Amino acid sequence: MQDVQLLKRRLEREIRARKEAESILEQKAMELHRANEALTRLNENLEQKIKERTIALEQTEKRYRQIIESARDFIFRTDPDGYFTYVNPIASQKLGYKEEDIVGSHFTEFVLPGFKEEYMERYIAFREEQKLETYEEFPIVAKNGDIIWIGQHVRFLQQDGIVSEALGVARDISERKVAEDSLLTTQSRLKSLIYNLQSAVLVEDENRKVVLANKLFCELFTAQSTPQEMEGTDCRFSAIRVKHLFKEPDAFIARVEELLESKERVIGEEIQMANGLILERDYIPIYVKNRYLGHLWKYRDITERHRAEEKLKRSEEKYRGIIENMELGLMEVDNNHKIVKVYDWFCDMTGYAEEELIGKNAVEIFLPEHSKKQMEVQQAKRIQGETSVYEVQIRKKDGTLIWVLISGAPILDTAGNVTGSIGIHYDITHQKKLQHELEKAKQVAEEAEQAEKLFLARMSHEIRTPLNAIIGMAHLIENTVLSEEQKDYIESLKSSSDILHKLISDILDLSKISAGGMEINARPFDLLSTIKSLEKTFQHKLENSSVVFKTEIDPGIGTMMIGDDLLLNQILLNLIGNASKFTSEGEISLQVDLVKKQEQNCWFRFRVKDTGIGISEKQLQNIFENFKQANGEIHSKFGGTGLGLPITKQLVELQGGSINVQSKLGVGTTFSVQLQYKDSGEAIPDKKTASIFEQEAVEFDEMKILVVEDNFMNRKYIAALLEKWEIAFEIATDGFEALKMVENTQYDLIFMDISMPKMNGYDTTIRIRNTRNPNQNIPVIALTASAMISKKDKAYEVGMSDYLAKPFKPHQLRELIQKYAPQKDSEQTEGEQTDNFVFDKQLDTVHLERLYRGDLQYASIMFQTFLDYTMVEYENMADVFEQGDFSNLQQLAHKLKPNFSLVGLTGLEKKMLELEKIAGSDADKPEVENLLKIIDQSVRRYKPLIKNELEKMKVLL
Amino acid sequence: MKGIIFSEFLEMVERDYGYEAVDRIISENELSSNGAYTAIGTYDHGEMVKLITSLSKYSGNSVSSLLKIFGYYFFDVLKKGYPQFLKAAGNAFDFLESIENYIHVEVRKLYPDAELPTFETRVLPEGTLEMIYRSERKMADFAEALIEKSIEYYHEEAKLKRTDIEEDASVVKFLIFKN
Repeated sequence: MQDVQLLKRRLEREIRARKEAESILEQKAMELHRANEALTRLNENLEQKIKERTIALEQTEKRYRQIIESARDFIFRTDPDGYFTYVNPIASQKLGYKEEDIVGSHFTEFVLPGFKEEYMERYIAFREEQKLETYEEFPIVAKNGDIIWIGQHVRFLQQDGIVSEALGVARDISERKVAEDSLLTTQSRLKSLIYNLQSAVLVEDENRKVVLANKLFCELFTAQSTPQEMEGTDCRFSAIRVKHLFKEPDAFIARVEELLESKERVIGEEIQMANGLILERDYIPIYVKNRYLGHLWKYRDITERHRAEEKLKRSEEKYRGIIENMELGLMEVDNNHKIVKVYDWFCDMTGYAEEELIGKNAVEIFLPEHSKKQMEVQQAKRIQGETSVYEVQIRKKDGTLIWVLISGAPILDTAGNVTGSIGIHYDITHQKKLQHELEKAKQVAEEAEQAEKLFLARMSHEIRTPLNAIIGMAHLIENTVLSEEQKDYIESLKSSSDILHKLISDILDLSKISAGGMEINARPFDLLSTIKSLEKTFQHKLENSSVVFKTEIDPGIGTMMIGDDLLLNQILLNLIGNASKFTSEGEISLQVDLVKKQEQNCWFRFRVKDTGIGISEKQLQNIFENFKQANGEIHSKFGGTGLGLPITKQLVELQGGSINVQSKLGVGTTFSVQLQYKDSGEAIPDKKTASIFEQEAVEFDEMKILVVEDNFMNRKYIAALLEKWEIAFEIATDGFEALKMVENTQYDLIFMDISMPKMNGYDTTIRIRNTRNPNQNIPVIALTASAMISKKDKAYEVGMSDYLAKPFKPHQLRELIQKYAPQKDSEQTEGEQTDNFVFDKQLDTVHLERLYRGDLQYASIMFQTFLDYTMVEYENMADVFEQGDFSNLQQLAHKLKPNFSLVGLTGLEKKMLELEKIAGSDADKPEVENLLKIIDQSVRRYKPLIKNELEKMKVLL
Repeated sequence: MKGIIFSEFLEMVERDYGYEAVDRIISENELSSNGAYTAIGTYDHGEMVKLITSLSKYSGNSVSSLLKIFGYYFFDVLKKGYPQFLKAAGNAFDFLESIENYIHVEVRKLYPDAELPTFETRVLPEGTLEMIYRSERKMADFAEALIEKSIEYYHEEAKLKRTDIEEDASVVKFLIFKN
């Protein structure tokens, strides 16, 4: 029973479970059914939608594809690593690669090398930053090498947070890039131009922000900022900030504001800064298509220019002031004489107003006919760019003529072309008048002077001509047979006429000196020879008196001097002549000393000492004054004009020398003359020494003289003398006759009178010199009674050789004839001979006899010369040797050597020859010294002997 | 609780103790289902507690050991009824991991109202699998038995270590060490 109950319960449980399960299942089946129904509907819907979507998608894709394919931009896709998976046709077309060549390549393959790495770095950076969009510009290279700048937009597509691919659109921006580059280049060039401008520049935009400022601007106005720092800064208050830099800050601010307000361009305003600089300011507003876009300030430092301008202005004002005050009239004309500018003074000078002149032709207005030619010459110079100063007459407005001195100069443009000329006019009418008067006065004076000269010449001629005849005749009478009484008369006649002659000569000399007509003819001369000649003259003159004349010459004088020997001669002649006049016995000496020598300058002292009557102290005071002869008593006793000493004094002073006198009554007088000559440095030529020995006697055998003289008395005088000297001669009585004669006969010398009727001596000489005749070049000597320098000069001018003033003495004529006689080998004249003289045996007597042949005069002079010169020079040898100057020593030996044989020291001559040989540049010093010692010993020994021999000779002479 | 647990439990009780034991544990308790369970139905979990407590009294075995025995029994039911789940996983760890992520997902598709425990799995270093069991039904013993059986099924050698995180065994951690 229990089991049945159990089974029953079990069955109930099973049935209940089954029913419950069936109900659940039915419920589930219903749910399933409903779900199925819904699914079926959903499916139907979905299919429809898919269909529609597919169509729409297809259309969209087609559209996009068309866009992509037809786009002008490059469109591409790459995988996340940058390898192309797609490119549109335009990309491949532009790049020149096939599409399939591009797909699979990495994008960097197309980037221009140089940009590759940079771009790659940026690409990696984008990826790391997980940027989803980028924009880049860079150049790529097409297949043909063209460079294309692209602007590339890339979008990274992500899937599940990972970049799956990149989509890119790139546009060819080459054109823009080129434009940008060129813009950038232009901009940077402009910028650099502005930065480096020598002006300070500031550019502001319309909001007064700095667009650009250059370095100079910053230096000028902002001590701290650089141009870069300035850019973008606000400059609305900058004017206020910098206003203290200006001299007038408030005016500066006011002007800046004014300019900003006006927005009009203002150039070249000058502003002074507080530190003294001067700036030039430009304000330039910037307009682009009428739109105001800001403005530019430009400041330029013009301090230097300003200063220069100021300076120029001041100088211009100064010079204008000077010129205006200098009474100089300025006028500027163009090349056609058109007046361009005139200055006030010029208007005052000419009487015109400025407006009357401007534009007018200057030549027509101002120049009288006779001045126009002159102006043409000046104008030609001006066109050549030359300046010149000239005088011209111009006409004033009122018609009067004035003289002006014009300094004309061309006006040049910057290219150097002459555009006109400027003339500075100075009114010289007054000066012209004065000049004219002066010229007249000068003419009068000159005429007067000429008249005076003529008068003097005539006077001397008029006096001399008859006097010459008197003297000449007296000499001629003297040669005839005369009674003692007649001889006395003749003597008296001669001395009187001599005095008269002397007086006239002296008066003429004095007037010549005081008129400045006496000239100094400096030339090289042999002072020794001059003195020797004087010595000879006076020794001869005093031969028969109880007065001895001697000379003492400084042995240091050995070279030719430069000076006027004739004046010296005259001075010494006067003094010695004077001395001989007042000395009846005793001695007259002439001492010549070389007082001082400095370089070439030699100071000499000539002393004429006598043992005459002497001069009292009182008389000494005015001894050199004209016509103040010692006293009447002396005059009556000694005669003379009293002009000798004054003339002497003047002649000395004329040469820059001085003269003084010392005297004691009854004891004697010494005149001392100091003169300066220049040492010519030349040695005295040997023949000069020889000339000392020349004798008066000259053979005139083969000589023929033509005498041209119109005066009968003179003719007679000259003829008598020439006959006496047995010289052949012919006479012409006037110029024409002379001309005829010179054509037919060969003469050796012509004496030509100057004052002749018909044709004077000058003209005759000119004819002789200028016509073909056998005497064209022979000496012509002027004979004239005029002693004026002008006459003498004229004689030389016309070609005359020498000059003889009438009246002349026989010896003067003879000397001249000797001087011009044809050169002949005259036999050595024999001097005074004596058989009594025997040279000392220590000398080479054979040599001496052969040399002098008993001519003691000659021998004594040679002995004297040896002692005076050779021995003096010999003394130098030791010095020369000490100095080691062997070549000089050699020369000295050579020079002195022959002199030793002249005094019979032939042994020494040989020694000197030896010395000459061993001396010289490569001399052996001890050897030379040794020889010198030997020579010196000999010289010391023989010198007293030579002196002794000379004294012996002198006694005999 | 799903009807299959009840129906298979009563099958096991009948096999081990006879239908009398089944009838007794049902009759002893006031059950709203009156003891009639179908596998596809869903029943109050409290009834299972009553039934198993009655069986423990009846058989003298502890509830814990009875749940474990029921686990071993139920694995074989699953092995016969749903072999595709076991075959889908190639090894024990994959299978255990798939319970939460795959099997339970599929169960819910069929039975949206099913109350299922959760098995959170994590692979620790050195190949140890950690499973955290959470359930208000507190049937960790049943779960432990299923884990043991599945290891056995794949012929793998592994040690199982159980740690009760909550004392009432509502949260239990299993560590499975591979040898």
